[in-house]
Amino acid sequence: MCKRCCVPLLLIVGSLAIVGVPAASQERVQAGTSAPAVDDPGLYLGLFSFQQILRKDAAGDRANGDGLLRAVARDYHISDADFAALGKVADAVLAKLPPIHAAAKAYSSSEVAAGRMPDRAKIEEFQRQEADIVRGGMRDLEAALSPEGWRNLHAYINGAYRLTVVRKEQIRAK
Amino acid sequence: MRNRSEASGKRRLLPRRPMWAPIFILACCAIPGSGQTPCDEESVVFNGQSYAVRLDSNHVKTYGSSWVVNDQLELWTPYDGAWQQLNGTDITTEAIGSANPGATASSAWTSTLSGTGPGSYTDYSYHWFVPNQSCSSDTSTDYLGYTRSAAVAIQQPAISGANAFWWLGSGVLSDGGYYAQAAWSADPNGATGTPTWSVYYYGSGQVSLSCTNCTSTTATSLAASLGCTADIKITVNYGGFTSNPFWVTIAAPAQLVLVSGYPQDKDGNPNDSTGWTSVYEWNLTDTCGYQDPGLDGYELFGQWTQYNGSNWPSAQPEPPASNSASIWNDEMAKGETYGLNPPARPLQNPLTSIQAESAPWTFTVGSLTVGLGLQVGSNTSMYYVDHGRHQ
Repeated sequence: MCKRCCVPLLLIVGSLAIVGVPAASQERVQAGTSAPAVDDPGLYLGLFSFQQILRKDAAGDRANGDGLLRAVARDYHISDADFAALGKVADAVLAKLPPIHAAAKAYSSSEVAAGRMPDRAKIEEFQRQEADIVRGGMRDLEAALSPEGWRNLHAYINGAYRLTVVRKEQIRAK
Repeated sequence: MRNRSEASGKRRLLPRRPMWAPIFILACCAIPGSGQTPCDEESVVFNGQSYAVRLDSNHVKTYGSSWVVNDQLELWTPYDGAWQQLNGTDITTEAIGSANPGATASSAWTSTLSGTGPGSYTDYSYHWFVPNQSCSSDTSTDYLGYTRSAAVAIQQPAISGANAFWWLGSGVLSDGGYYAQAAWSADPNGATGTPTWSVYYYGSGQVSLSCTNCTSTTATSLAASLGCTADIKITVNYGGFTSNPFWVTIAAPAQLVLVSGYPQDKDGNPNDSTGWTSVYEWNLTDTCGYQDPGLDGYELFGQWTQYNGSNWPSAQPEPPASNSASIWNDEMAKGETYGLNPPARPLQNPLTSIQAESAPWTFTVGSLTVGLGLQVGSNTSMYYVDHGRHQ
């Protein structure tokens, strides 16, 4: 289907939605939501990102900032030192991701500009790189924390934390 | 190709496309001649999470977060709309946070427990994701749905210990199993740090505390409560989060209640069986109306006054005494054989009103040491020629 013909078709679909066409008529479909699997890299990516949010929050709260970080460390059942190590690993992991995102974007832009569809395998390679960085972070985390800290944090991530995460894989219909 | 939802049989319905959705189709970056966009080749994983943590004794913070995994092309903007809930009910409005593609969106609420109180705190968040409008042929927002955090259960600090004890007069800490002190302990119930004790008075009762920034304190009574009311409120405060009130009553021995049938008058005194004897019995009761056995006590006389040219020797107080019971008695007596003027007589009928001497009389309990304790009786000890009276 070319761009020229897809526009009016989608306009029609959108208009039907306005007048009450069932939501199921939309073309984007999704799998059901679920908790991530144990040691799912996405689980760790979320936790790493959350560490930056926490520390930004703490830095902006002179009165309660230290209390926030200590409270979260207690909640994770790790020491303040292990919590600091978690923050360092999180920073290191998150710093490695933007270059991959930028490379993926540059690649797809150049392909589009050349009138080609980006190669799915190439896109999956970028995704694999991202997952590898997160998995590397998981290994770095284990190495950086005390044995007890890692044991407790690992249990927390795959227990209490994982069970409060909802994920959904989005796959486009072709 | 079958899409995954069909394959799994978990087809879910998405919210209706917004009215403006078709407009953005004009900006899509489809590959010429293909009808597809690079984003149509992407599979991404949307994530949402809720988190709640007790920051300190007086604050709970809740977060909602949204992020995307495997978003190499479309660059979804994550959104998180978060409410804080107490016992399953919203106590905040919705806070909406968003982040640049590739980052995590987060929104948070902090509650001050002194204002919101104890209970079960949770984050309740809604997560949605808006695609880069210039990339996909499908610009509809993806709605992941709701998450709820694990609950943070907050209990108020509490105070334990005796909530009623005694006032026995200045300087008396205990007597006969009656105590003017109580040990109180603060139970943080999850709060942290050292509590601050506070005392509020709503009547006449007063106490002093051995320490006010401590986990355990010793309270010493300074004054009795009004009647038998709990008129002292004690609280502990952990960083601003205050316990439930701990109400305290300070009881005190209060009065001598004349036992029915007294005074009793009879002929003869204990030494030579001449003259007369008058006997009193009183029941010692407290501000709560109960009898108080076991206290020490003593009597005192003030300045004696002689009447009608009397030469009667002044009566001497009995020495301080312990008493296992709550009944106290007093025996007033005079004999005829001591050359008294006016002479003492056996009981007359009717009793005479001729006075010989009198003195102010007080009775104090709580100590064997004269000058300490709590006065529970005060009257005039009057000696008539044929009987005696407290009047």
